[in-house]
Amino acid sequence: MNQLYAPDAFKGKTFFITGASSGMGADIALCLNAMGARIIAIARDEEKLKAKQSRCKNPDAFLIHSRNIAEFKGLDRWALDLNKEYGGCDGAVLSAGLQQTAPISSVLSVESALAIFETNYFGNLQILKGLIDKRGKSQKGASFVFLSSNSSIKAQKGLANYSATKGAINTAIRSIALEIAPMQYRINAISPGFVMTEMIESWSEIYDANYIEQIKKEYPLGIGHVEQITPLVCFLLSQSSGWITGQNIVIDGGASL
Amino acid sequence: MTQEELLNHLADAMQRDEELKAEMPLSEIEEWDSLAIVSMISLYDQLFGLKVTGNTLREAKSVQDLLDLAPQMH
Repeated sequence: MNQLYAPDAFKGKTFFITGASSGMGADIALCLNAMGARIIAIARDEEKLKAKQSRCKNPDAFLIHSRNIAEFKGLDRWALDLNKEYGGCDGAVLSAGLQQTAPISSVLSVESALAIFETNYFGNLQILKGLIDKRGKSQKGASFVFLSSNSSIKAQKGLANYSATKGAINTAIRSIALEIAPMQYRINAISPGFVMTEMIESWSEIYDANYIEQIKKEYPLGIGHVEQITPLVCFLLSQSSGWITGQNIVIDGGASL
Repeated sequence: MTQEELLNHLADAMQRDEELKAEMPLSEIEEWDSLAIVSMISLYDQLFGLKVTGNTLREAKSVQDLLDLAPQMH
């Protein structure tokens, strides 16, 4: 990180981050905060957000708003009002997400898809809608990064629902990119592969060690770490990527090749 | 729906903070652009189940013309 960016590369910038309490969202939030950005950290669990805040380089610039974005009705207005309160952001990272492994034949597989769509897609989309609303006056050059997944382009059993939420993201951002370009805003998706996060560590308790071993075989460059994802997000948020919009960038150690 | 309520909906669809008034010419409303026109089409559909065309909207000169597209106001 430090080799690429000055220690204060994001000084004076404000970013909203959903899912900021764990996994990639948290790592991105801490990293941007360390490089001078003000972070509006959104997640369900206030205690987990506070725990991340205590690890921040600049805790005063890590502002906590606990909210379950799955309850997405009116969430756009909430995000718009927050954006006004903070004087217009420079972008956002939409990383709140739930995972599910359920073959389509499993009990309630279709009904249970709603819950993951609510968080992964609709909740994040409402936040985005609020932040690109003209009334919030997000800054010119603002950049938005939506967390997709390499499962949106590489099939795997049991991931129909989960990958559909991510496929929805990949296609929606293309339209949105066109709509927000006149305001000089950009949006891109990133599609990481299997990355060791708290979420995934918690399922290795459910699945046996063999499961992780199997996954390792599919990753030519090994299983990923959050620290390998954060620099891409920083690049997409920065003006260095100022001509990139509407893209889905796969970052998976070659797993989808 | 009262006229005031509809004006609020119109302002919201245009993403406009300042109050809208019926007599305002659309040409003087900064937020009135092609995306706002598309937003109006979906607004009238949602509110009244009404299919308003882009051409009708492009011909509108004032906020009053937009209000007149709605079914009878109370």
